Amino acid sequence: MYLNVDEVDTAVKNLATTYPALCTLITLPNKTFEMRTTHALRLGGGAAGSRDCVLVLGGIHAREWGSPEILLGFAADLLEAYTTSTGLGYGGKSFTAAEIKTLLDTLHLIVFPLANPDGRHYSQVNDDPTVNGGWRRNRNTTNSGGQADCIGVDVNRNYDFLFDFATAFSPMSLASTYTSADPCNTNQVYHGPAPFSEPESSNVKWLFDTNPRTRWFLDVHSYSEDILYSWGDDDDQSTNPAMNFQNHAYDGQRGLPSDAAYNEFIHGDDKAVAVTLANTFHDALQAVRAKDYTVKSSFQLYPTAGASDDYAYARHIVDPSKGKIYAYTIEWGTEFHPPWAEMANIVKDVDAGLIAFCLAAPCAGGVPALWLETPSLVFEAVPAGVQTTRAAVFSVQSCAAVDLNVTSGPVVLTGPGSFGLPLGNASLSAAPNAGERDVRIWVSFTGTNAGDMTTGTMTVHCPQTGDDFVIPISAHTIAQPKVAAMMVLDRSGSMDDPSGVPGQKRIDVLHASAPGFVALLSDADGIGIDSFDQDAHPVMPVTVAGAMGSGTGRTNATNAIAAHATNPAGTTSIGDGVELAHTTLAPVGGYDSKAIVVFTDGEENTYKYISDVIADIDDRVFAIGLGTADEVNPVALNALVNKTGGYLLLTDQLGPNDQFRLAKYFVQILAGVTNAEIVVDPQGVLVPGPDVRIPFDLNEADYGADAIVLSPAPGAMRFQVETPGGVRIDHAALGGTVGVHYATGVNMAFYRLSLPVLAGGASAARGRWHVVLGEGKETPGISAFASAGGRAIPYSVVVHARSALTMAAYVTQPSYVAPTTLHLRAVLTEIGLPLEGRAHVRAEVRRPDGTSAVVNLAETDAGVFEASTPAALNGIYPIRFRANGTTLRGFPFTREQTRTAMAWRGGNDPLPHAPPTGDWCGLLRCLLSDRAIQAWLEKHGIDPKTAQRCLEGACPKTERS
Amino acid sequence: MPPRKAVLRVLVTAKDRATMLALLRDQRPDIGGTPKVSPDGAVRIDVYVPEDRVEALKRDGVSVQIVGDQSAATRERQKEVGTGNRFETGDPVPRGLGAKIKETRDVS
Repeated sequence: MYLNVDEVDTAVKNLATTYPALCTLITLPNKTFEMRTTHALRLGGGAAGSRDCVLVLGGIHAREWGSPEILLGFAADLLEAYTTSTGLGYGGKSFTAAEIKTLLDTLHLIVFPLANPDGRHYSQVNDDPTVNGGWRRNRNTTNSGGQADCIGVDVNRNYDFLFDFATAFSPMSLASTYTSADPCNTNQVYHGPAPFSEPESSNVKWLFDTNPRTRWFLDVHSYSEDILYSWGDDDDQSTNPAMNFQNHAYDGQRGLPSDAAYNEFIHGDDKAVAVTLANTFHDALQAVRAKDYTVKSSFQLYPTAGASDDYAYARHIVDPSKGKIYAYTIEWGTEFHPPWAEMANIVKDVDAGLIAFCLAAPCAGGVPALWLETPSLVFEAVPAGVQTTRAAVFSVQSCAAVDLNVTSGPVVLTGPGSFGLPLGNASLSAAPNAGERDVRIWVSFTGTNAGDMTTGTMTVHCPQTGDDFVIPISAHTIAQPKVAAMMVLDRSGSMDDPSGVPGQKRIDVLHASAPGFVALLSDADGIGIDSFDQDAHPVMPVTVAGAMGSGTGRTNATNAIAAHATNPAGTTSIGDGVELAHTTLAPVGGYDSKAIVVFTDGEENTYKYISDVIADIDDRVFAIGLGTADEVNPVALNALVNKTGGYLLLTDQLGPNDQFRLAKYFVQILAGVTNAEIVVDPQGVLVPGPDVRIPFDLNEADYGADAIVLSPAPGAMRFQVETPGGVRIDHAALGGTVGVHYATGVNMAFYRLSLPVLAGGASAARGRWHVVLGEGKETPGISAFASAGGRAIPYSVVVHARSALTMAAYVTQPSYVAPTTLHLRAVLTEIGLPLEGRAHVRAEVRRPDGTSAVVNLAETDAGVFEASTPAALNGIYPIRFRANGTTLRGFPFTREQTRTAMAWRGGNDPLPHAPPTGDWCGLLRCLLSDRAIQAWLEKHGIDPKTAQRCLEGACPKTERS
Repeated sequence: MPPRKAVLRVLVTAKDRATMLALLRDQRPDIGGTPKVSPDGAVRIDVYVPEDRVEALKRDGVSVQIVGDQSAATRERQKEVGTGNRFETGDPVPRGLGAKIKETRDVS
């Protein structure tokens, strides 16, 4: 006889009591409308969540009486057979004791026999004239308006899948016939006021949520002798991923059979697995007594909306963090409640199918299912000369080993260049279950010339499935942004003065720090050098930097810097130097931008002054001043960089621990010159012991990065880069990596990454990377480290990104004499759009007296962050802007920029400039603006400012540049 | 109270999908299970309707076969539902319907 609802619940509890080591009673959290508590069983040992799980559900529709009996029989048979070490027989189908043991030793089976006891009870005891084929719904009266025939919700229309059927489906479909928003619908398909409004469906969702390793779901219904797999909203298709239930462009088109307007997308490998397992169910069921159930997709003539099977399979698509659940609806028998004698036979049929399904599920029924995730390979916007990789990604579901062999290509069909296979063919080893695994075949391409379009093809064959995949390839080469940079280096006599770093003159510090700028240029960038004292001297014309570590331009520039010598009698004419740099750059073509980098240690004191040439300078000028604001007196230099869009960095007085400051400034200036973004910029000391790991985030807007270590002994440390996937990239073993280059320079070493990087057989781009520094036991440099007796090695790490996510930082100030105010401004953009509401920016301001402050910048406009802070003291204020936030796609990023603000006595003085010939007023103005003369006058009791006022009173007004 | 109309189980067979779609769209009957499609394209499905609605199902391209009185069948089946609680008064341990097969092992 059929079980009444009390018997079903007692049976569930008694199974849990009888087999405590094998099953656990689960009490569902939501009571039914009539306050019944429902229960499920988890079969299989081990803690909840420790195994993959099959969830079997029954009793959703009230009138389909046999489902709880099927599920109770399923659970009881398995538990008894396992406990007694017997096999199980159902008519002509049997299972060995070993199979039963394997099943319960490796899987969890959650069996929820009766989800809707209220409806079942009503159906079993009432003779209701208001319903046609028997009661289907639950017994929720909330929306009935007091009418008996309006009670209840169809629980299998209450799940969150295309719940708004009126919008999602075609009005010509039968969606609104077999799903309804009308509580009084006579077909009993009212879907409820909202998804999961009903306790029964909420309980099923709860089981999914609390058992995240659920990989298979079977909802047992009647009738029509079907085994139904996804989808139920429309016919399946595996060719157009965009045609899917989440795409509102297809609203109003779903649900019509055999039409082309809309078919629901399912990955080909998923469908292969779904069908294979359904056939396994079918074959076992058929073996019992020759019943021939039909395997087909849930959608036939009419669509379903809000059904459990579609919801279960859709979960991982809606939220990729959730696991994929293969979902089925079993429609047993040929009537809702057949005579018990026949129902008993059906119980055996379906239980045999369920057991066979569960045995086959972990290995997907033995089928190797394969799906090409990337139907084409597109190398979009590859900079000329840059090698990069793309992967043909296959999704594989198989316990057996799978091979993917490139049988043709990759070959170029049109255009220049060539494609490569840096890692050759790919394969997957055998696995204990058929959980989805990705396998990749990597293809490489090196950008040719700007504007080139290259096409090609590759054929991949899988011997296990016999599939051949023909994959078209295309590549577009863009110009690599190139910059021509002129270094303008001071050789005045003061460059022989002590730098502040013990044992190093200013020129020594320059020799140690400037080569880093040259080493880090891109291969296609140009570099030239001139020098200045009281005159300008051409040193090196603009020359292409060339290959990392060995290019002609780099080598010549590095040698020129090393040979750069002081003129002991030299004075300082920055204007001459800048003018020569400008005239050197002017005729040079083939570059996207040009920049001048001025290095000086003192104020200009010789014609030409900056003010004499500033009007002609249209290249971006960056400047590094070695010394204090008083020493450099950068009033004109500051005006020049501000006018051209560059910026000025002052080192202040260097001390014993400041050997990297100038080098870091050169690296920072390089970022400005080449439009690179600074990701992080920390420094520290390396001591014997655990590795130092310095994290940095790269995101989808970054297409390249440099990880740079500055150190007096970079060879004495082990310098590696670790990908987000944990693969260590070591310059000593770069075989098998693509997109990684390593180079060294004076007091520096760096990795240049072209994203995505291929390392350890895996792609790496977005995510948290690490620079790893450690003792270089396997490098020649260890002797240096060891001989230092464990002494710490100072280092500075800088990471640059070439990126579409940029931060520009500005410091402006109304006066260059304290007290004044520093106005801080940062502008963040991503692919040219303001980065609105997704970032925080703060500035770490170090004051001249050594104290510091952190200033939070407020977002005053979309992507614009501003704040002000007082500058009460004369001196230099290094300001480190630090931004963090999330990209458009929600991934973390950081950006840093350093600027220096400054205030000093005389900061607002007129710009020094040359007197016109015969112009005594000009000559006197010039003399009185010289700080040495001012000091001499003060020493002899004459106030220089009084003298200047007298002069201005006697002389006609002149315009300042 | 008017006399209650019996609900009949009716097998409806349409010559093709379009005809069945039109019928279901027009009549919106309660259905049992999923439609079955024959090799010749004919589509059949069970519907449950009061006896006075059977005529409305008939049309060109549609055949209607009364399978039985569902109301009566349900009342009969309700007699096969257990009363009380057999797992409290009898054997408390539910048993499945599968045969428990004791396996023998060859001993050499």
